[in-house]
Amino acid sequence: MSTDFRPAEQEWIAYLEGRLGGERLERFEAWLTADPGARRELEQLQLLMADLEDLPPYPVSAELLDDSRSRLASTLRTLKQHGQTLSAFRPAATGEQAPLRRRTDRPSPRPAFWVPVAVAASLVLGIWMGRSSFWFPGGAAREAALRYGPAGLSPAGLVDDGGLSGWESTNRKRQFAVQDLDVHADREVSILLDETSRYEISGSAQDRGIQEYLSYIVRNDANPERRLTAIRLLQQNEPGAGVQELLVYALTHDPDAGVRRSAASALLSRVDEPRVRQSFLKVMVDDPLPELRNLAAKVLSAGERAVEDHEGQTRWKAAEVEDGPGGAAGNDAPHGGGSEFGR
Amino acid sequence: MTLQMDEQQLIRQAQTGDHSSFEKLVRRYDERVMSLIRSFVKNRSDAQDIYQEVFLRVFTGLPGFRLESSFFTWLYRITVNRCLSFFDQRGRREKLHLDPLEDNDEGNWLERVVAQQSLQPVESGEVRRKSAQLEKIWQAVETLKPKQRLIFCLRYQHGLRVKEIAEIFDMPDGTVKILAFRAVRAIRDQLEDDLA
Repeated sequence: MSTDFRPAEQEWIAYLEGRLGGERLERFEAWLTADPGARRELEQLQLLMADLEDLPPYPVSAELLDDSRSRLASTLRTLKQHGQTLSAFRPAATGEQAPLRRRTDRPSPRPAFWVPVAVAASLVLGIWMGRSSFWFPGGAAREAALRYGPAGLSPAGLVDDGGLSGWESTNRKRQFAVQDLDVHADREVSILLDETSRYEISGSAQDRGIQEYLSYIVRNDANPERRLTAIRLLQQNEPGAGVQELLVYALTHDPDAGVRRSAASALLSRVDEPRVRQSFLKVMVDDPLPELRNLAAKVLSAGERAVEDHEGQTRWKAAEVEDGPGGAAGNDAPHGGGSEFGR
Repeated sequence: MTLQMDEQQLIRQAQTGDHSSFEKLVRRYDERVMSLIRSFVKNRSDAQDIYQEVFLRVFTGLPGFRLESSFFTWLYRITVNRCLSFFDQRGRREKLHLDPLEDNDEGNWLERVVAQQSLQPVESGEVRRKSAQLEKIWQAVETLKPKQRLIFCLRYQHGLRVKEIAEIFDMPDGTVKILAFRAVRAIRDQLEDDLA
């Protein structure tokens, strides 16, 4: 018997299960006889396996289970309220039927429900901003400090309404390719455009014309850092519906987790808005990042509590949710009363 | 009505949007699901987040669930995926909580369970010795790699058969056996001095 013999894991398993036979069994037992260390290992494994038969499942306290059921019930009530729209972004079939599904950091392209909404939002945003922007003759923002621009066009020209020919569309995309976004003192913004950096747009972040470029960056720029910067600038300057729609777009569409997280934070204070709640609902069901799905679930259940709180004394605080999974909102789920899952 | 028929009926009703049937399904399995989650994640709040994610996945995926599959296996698969996903997101950045017996309201649970199993009072020496042994096993379990740990828990704590675990992880039976064996061997290596 060679002392070099080392049984493979499969042989160990077969021996312990009593399935090893013939020559392989003889070789294994000869090895055990010759090697006291091997014998000791076998005895210890057998002893351990006998102990493991008594290993109980980890206990779950009734309070933890109740609390979890309450939270789930609260979220399900929210889902029920939005039942009409839920089916539109329900994950295709049962994603978990596939083994250990791997998700990328990019939200899955299921635009069926959101495309018309996003297009409509773009149009509304375009009209809202267009009223006074610099390329509109007589627009109030005509005096915005825009020094250079591609042929008097604006990013609104890129809203895909199907009216542009292929060549025009390509050309404009080239012209509007963002090369750089700089923020100087006093929120003076400078944007370099065109693949050859031919155009420089500069002005105050408060100018409508600049804001339109920032909106364009949020929706179209490939660079997530610039998208984040644009979101921050817009958020600081314009709390209106247009920016809210843009944040909703970023939250539900942006491929970068950091940008979506930032949009979620910015929207926390607007969770009473139906449109915002709906976007969090989509995130809760569909975002690839567990952290954001959890945040959305908390936002929705906490928001619901805030709405249910007629006294208005304990309005939900965004900061609590921003603390993340261990935050106060997570441990503050309603107990008992009204829960479908309460014991 | 058999348990399986009852379950199929519950699933069918839940698939049509009946929340009460969904609630019954949740109640049937959620303690086991939470137990598995807790053996993987010790922080209560994290465990609750995973629990919520698991059942939301079930809720949204239920309409597409095929009745010829096992609901139980599907549910466990979702739970396992959520646990591993949690580890991917969190575990790589910060160490998972690995001290189950210090963390919680369930302290001394091993002693209580061992006392129940052996029909002896908690104070007895034999109960103390055995629960101390199980505690050491637990500490060793928590050093296992995530997938090994889940397989170990399903096999020895939840009493699942190799075939069921293989279905949950979508891997051959032989691979499950090897991973479970490696887990046991790793635990044995850590407890070598205690396993006289």
